[in-house]
Amino acid sequence: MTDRVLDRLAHDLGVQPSALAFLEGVDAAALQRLHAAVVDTRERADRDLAAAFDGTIRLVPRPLRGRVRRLLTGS
Amino acid sequence: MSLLSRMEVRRLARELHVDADELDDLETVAPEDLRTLRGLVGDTLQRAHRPAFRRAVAVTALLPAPLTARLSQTVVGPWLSARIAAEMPPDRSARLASHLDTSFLADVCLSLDPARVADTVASLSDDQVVAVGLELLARGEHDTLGKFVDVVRPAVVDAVADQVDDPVALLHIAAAIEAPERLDEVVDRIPDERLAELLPAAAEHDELATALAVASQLGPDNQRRIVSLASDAGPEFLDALVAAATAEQAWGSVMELLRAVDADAGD
Repeated sequence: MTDRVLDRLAHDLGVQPSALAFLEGVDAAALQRLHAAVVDTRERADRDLAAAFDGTIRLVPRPLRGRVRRLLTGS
Repeated sequence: MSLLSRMEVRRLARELHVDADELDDLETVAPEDLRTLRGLVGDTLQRAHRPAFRRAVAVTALLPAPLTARLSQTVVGPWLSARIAAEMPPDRSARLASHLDTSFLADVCLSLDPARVADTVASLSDDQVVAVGLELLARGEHDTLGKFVDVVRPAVVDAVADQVDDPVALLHIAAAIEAPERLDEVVDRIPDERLAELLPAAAEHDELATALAVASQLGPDNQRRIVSLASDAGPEFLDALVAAATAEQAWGSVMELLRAVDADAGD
């Protein structure tokens, strides 16, 4: 199980599993918590970015709003 | 488990918005490997959202800096601001920073990898960087202060260090400095009287293992200073040092210090 978690973690971190060889002695449950934290943080950033972009579009002065929307959302 | 590993786990936990307790099994990993892991995690999070961060940077070119600052503080928040700042031209982020509250900048620092914004920090006035440093000091954010020592000017380090009244706080800041050569430069500028206060304070607050971890990273001249001051601190202090080295499995650090003295004796 440890190896599979390490493989998934390595994949998500964009490295070969061998680059994380120093984690091989760590308990599988602990690696699972680490991997979950990485995934959660990335998803949280997605949500926070969406909220920040919405807020920015809402708060910029009206004459700039269209350009700002296009820059942030592409639409 | 070492103090430096524990510190690295705390930093990783902060990066990942989790309690350090959730990751405490990682404390068995060597600190340099944990630093590598933290770097990989930071790179991954930055890379995953880089296109969005760069779109945000494009907007900052369109808006006046005071408005961008207000948006950063009200809707973007410190964690995202830190990551967007890492994609911004340093002169623009420095201009923006001049419109941000010191308290918000301190929040941003908690989420920043100093290496990503070294050029921006270099573009800020010393007064502003010192103000942020003092805010972090007031909050007890010694780890973050230590991390930033690597990228701020020595005058800034001195100005903040002068305001550190608590010797144990100074020790915690020193322990968080990542580059041993910068740590050595900082300790070089601490007078003997202040270092002499630090050792008994470390013993009193059960922080001798931290002191040993810091001392083991110093250059030979400063290691000899520490050993000399420790020798002058009396037998009770030396007993406490031996007990701490045993309890924290820190004899490697002690041997490192003794080697510096041996080398001196052999000169």
